[in-house]
Amino acid sequence: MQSLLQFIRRNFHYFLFLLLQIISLFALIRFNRYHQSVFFNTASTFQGNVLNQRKSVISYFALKTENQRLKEENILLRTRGTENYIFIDTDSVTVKDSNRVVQYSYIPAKVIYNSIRKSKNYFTIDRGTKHNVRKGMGVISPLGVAGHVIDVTENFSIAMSILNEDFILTPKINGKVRYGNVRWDGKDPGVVQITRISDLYQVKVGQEVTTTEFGHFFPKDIKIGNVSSVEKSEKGKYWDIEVELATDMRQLGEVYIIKNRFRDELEELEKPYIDEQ
Amino acid sequence: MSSRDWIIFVLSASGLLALQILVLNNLNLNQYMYPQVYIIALMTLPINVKHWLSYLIAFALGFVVDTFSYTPGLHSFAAVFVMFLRYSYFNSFVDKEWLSTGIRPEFGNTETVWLLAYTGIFTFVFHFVLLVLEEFSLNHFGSTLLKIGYSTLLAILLILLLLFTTSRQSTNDS
Repeated sequence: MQSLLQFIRRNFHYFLFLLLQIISLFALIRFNRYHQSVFFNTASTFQGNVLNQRKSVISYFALKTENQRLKEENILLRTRGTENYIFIDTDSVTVKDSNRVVQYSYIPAKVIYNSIRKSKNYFTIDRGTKHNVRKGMGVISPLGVAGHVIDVTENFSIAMSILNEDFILTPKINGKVRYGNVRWDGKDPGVVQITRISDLYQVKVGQEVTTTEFGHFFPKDIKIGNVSSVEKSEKGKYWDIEVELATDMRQLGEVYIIKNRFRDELEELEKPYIDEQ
Repeated sequence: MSSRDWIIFVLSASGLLALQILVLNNLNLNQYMYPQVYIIALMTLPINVKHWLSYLIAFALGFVVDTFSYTPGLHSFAAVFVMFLRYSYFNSFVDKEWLSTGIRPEFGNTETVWLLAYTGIFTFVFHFVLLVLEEFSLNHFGSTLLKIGYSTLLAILLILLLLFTTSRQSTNDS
């Protein structure tokens, strides 16, 4: 014991040096978003395969609910298909719209790591630059919005979860664009908040909340969730709205990464006019 | 260091930090020039200052710069690291007798050639650690090296200029 104390005292400055370096590194990785994402991304490249294996085993146990979810999505897509519509007005002329191009396309992917316990949550996806994933792409689950990609390596990417205090969206409520912020308060992983919606608008419990095209992450009308409570804000003039998420972030499995073909072009165009946040 | 020395140190360190945070960090000369001049305060600590104390001082100065440039941990890591190297150098390669004089590495106190080499290496190591850690990736190592090179050169020039002018003043004072 005596010699141990002596050893520590003699090498005190080495311990102090190491301690200060560890504190600095910890602060660097914990509080700088860039370093954090690089760190987790590098870690995920190493862990990727292990997590992939683990996920492939675990996904067997979730097959039943996953199937159910896929069925629901299939039904939704089928009802959207043109074969469901007949033209009653036989005199009408069909216009071939060759001036339309596909703006959004979808890359199917799997979530291999997901966090929901922190105030800033991220999840890792098993698709990367090799599969045309780029920074800034939106990520949705079959049921609704899940996050957007903030960093990419060759085989994996990291997405900022909707359960992250830095994640902000402009919502549509009941089909109409409302200039407020959808943002998570860091508490219940099933519920996000909408702030700064003027109380001049009518908002009711049960109304559907969807995405807008603003921000170019998502196409319009992707479901975020349903209004679960509406209260007058303490600041007056505004509603405090809670939205029950359509996506169960605790069970995030199959996702689609959304590729916006015109994103770069739009951002380039808008850059000089939009202040950097 | 006497209490008078400490007061002078605190004042000059505050001045350097203000220069760094308020002026140099906002210069935006070009993307490669990011000179860190506040390290003079660390460089010119007496050569016999207690090593653990020098680490704490380095950490504190780094912490202040980090706080004002929103980069927690970055400057404090590089500053403590470079002070560790400084101590290791003094401990292993320097004559003990000279070390016990406790002079500050400044113009007039030390040989000019030694001071130039010391300033150069100290500044380079600090900028190397700082900028590599800031980049945190080896993907654009070429541009990181350019950044290190330009920033180090500019910093050395500014540091020598400051050391030179202050040493002139202090000789005039005495």
